[in-house]
Amino acid sequence: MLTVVEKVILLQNVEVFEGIPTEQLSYLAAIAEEASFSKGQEFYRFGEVSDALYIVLEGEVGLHRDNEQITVARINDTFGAWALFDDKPRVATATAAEDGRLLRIYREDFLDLLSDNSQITEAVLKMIVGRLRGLLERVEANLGQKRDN
Amino acid sequence: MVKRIFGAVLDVRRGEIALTLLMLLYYYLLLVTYYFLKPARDGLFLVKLGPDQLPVVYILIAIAVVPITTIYSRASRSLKLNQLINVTTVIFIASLFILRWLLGFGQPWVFYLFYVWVSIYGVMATAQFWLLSNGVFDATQAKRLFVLFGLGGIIGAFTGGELTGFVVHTLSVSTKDLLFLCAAILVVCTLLVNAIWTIKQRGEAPIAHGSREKTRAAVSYGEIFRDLTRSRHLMLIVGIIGMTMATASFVDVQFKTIAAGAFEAEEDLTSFIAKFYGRVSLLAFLFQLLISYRFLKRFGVAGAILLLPAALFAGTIVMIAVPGLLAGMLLRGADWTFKYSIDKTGRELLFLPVPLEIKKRTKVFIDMFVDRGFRGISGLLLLLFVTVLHFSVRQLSIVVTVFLGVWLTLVLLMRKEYVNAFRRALERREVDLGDLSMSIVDPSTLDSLKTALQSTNERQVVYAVQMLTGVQDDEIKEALRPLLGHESDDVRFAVLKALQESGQDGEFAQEVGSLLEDSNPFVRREAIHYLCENAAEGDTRALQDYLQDSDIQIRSAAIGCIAEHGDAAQKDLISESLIREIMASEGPESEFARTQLAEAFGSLNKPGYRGVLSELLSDPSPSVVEEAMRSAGRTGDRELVPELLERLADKRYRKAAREGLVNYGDRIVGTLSDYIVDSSLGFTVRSNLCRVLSRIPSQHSVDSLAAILDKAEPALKYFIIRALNSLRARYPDFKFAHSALNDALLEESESYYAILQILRVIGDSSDPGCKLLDRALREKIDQNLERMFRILGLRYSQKDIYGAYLGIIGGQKQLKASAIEFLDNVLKKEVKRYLFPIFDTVTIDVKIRKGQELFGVNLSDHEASMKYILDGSDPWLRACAIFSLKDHLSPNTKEMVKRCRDDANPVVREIACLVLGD
Repeated sequence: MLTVVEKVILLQNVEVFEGIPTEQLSYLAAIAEEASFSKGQEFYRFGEVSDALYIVLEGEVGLHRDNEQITVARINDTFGAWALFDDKPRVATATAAEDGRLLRIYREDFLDLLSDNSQITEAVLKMIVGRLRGLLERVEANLGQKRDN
Repeated sequence: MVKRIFGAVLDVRRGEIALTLLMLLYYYLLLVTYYFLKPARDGLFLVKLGPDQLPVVYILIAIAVVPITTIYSRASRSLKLNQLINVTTVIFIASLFILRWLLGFGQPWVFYLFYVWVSIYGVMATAQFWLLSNGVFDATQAKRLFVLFGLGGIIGAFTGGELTGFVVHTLSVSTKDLLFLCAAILVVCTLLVNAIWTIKQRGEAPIAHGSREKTRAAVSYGEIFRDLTRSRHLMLIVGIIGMTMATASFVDVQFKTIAAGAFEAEEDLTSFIAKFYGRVSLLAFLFQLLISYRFLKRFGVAGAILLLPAALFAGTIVMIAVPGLLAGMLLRGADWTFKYSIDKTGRELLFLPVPLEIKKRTKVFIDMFVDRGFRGISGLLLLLFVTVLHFSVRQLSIVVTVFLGVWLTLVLLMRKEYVNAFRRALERREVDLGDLSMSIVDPSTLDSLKTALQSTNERQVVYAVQMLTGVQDDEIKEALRPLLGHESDDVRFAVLKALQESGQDGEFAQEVGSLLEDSNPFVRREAIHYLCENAAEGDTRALQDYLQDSDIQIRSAAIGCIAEHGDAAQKDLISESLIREIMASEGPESEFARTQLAEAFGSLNKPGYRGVLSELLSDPSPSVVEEAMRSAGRTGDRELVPELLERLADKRYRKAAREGLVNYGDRIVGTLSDYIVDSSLGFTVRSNLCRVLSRIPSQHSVDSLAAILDKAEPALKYFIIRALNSLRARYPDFKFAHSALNDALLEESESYYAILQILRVIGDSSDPGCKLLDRALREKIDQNLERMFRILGLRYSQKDIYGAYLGIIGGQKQLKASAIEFLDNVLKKEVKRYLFPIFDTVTIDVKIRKGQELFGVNLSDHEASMKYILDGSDPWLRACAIFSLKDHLSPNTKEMVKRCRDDANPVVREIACLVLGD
């Protein structure tokens, strides 16, 4: 079993947790469950309600849509990340390509953590706003480029 | 109507009487002084320099206002409100003596100076009074009491005017010596301000700066200008106000020219002007009190803003036909009477449909700059017409007629625009209900609201009902009647509230009676309240009957009614047997009854019922528990504090538990601060207790939080400092112990320098554990820096310090340089000594050396660095440091890690065991 510190080392590389201080990540690590999976195991299906984020510790997980493989999540890769922020249906089906282990964070636990810890909420909001700003800047830059052309 | 008038004027409640009387006397005396000085100013100026010099002083006033407002605004940021008023009043008194001395020389420039001084005095003295009123009274009190102050002011103006005539004429005191009299009155005013301040400070809550209004974000003039130009409605307001000011300046010159011609002697002129101002002020007041409401009801906002230009137009025609003192008095009298009564109300109402944010930004700008700007422009025009072209009073009337033409056109355009703007605002629910200090009577506004009552959007209906609260109109009453059967709970509830506020005399009793069986318990509660208020046998007797009703729904609604609205006698109606019965009852209705009972307990003040309240705190229903927690605080029963602390750990109840603890107030501050540093309690509970203390506004809270700063670990220290920041922002008058803050600042600095050394020792490493420690340490020094600035914000202006913080952490060189320059000017030398090397753009080596010199901490090797972290108070750093040692344990570090196996923090214990291979 991973310790809290080891989980933090993994979580700090997850894109959606970028910018969250490591101490706050340790609280997140405390709610991250470690689980094993076997080849062929389905984590979720396309169209299902989102409820958790997954980080692959060992093995591979394939993400499919309409019988077509979109991507493969390998060691330290994350899938289903935005489930933490909304309950929109899944956009792909996630199936284990081989035996392995993963970390899973349920949205309900994550929301509980946010309500308990304003510093994590602050960091998450900063991350989302940062992304939104980046997106707006890109849109503006694109518009500017189109105008120039 | 008499009831309406006197009800509005004399609604002073117990506990407010002393403050209200002192404030009333203060305002009365201020107005007396102003109406001594104003005729003196006019009399002296007109006799010594003549009315043709008036345009020059108008321009001078417009110019002088800018620097004086800037200086005053800066002073208001660094001084407490009472200090600000005292300093300004002392300056007023001193300048009165100086002016009196200067007037003795008879130099022309002194009369310009005196004119400008009195004009600015009038604005500042009254503005200061309202500033103090806003600090002393809350928004609800303001609505009730400010009308009374307005009355005091009018009587002051009238007394000042009449007394001036009496003193100058009958007692033969010279006009110049009125200044001594004013100085003496201002001395009394200073004593009054200090008495008011002392009484208020003794009260339950200190005066919070900006408590009525949150600090406004700085807005550029460009943005305000954009707001104005984008809105046709605002542009029309600007135009109307501009024309009002321009016409007033011309009419003032006409009146004073005629008056100066009619009275040659200085004392005669002063006496005439004084009496004129005093009586016209009284007339304006009587018009406002007796006629404005009916006028507004009959002719609406458009009629209200049309009356002044129409009256001036009539006066101007008279002036052209028969110029003379009578025509002058008629013209200036009409201007004064309507401008400060119905026209003022009309102009304020024009802002009603303007969205709150835009109104906040633009109203002050319009009041300050449009008003002054147009006066200045009028001064220039008058200079041209009076001084250069030598226009007669009659010729000036022609220019006034042109102004009036433009003004009337703008009013006609505004008529349509106002209705459209109001409809749009209503659709978007943008009308600020706080602005409705007077009932809506404008017919077009009422029509829009009546239409909104039929809306299918329930939020809009509720909004319209809230706006119509207090409106005495039969049609509106009839429009509200069917809404008592509306399908939405919120609408029925809002209508009942509106009926209660409007003071109905039971004419809806039948419809409201049927709501006793309403499905919503809050609607039933308000229905009972309405019925009791209008019961023939009296409200207490009616409540007693409802409490004995066989239906538990009715009994619980009656308990709720007592909890929400009941007085002490009605609270006594809740008997022990009733309480036992409610506690023993079951079913969904019982839950509401227990919730209401829990709420009532807060004000029952029956210590014998502690057991019941404790039972309610463990109730299976969350809403009952929440209400019981709030009530526990209101009872002040300290025995219940541990139960609230227990609930603080549960996120479902956290908010209510905090509210309950805040309700205890100052009496448990010491106990709570002990709990904050009690490490046996969870971190969430302790950090939430900091929030609780930040909401208890007392010096004791500040002192207790400051006293535990050195006892808390860094993460908790952050919450303590934040709580102090919050108290400082809302209550800047509290004293923040400098020694405790200095110690905290020193501790943060020492930690900062130490971490810099550790980072240097660790260096770059690809080992994941070392990389994690490196990142954690960098985060910690960022937090150190934030805490340092937060502490500085407790000693200096928080806003300025925050600006400097952003400059220091931001990447822009220019901003950083400005921030350093600012801090260099502000900080004390001994603080700068250890903080400046941190902010300065020097190399890390220089910073480290400086830190070693200042604190004597030398962490030049790995083991010393690890020892520093492991002996420190930060559990997360301890965990990271131990993990970084996983594959690099030396005998010494192994011993250190072994000691951490018994650490209080589970993460540290876990990682120590992992590293040691246990």
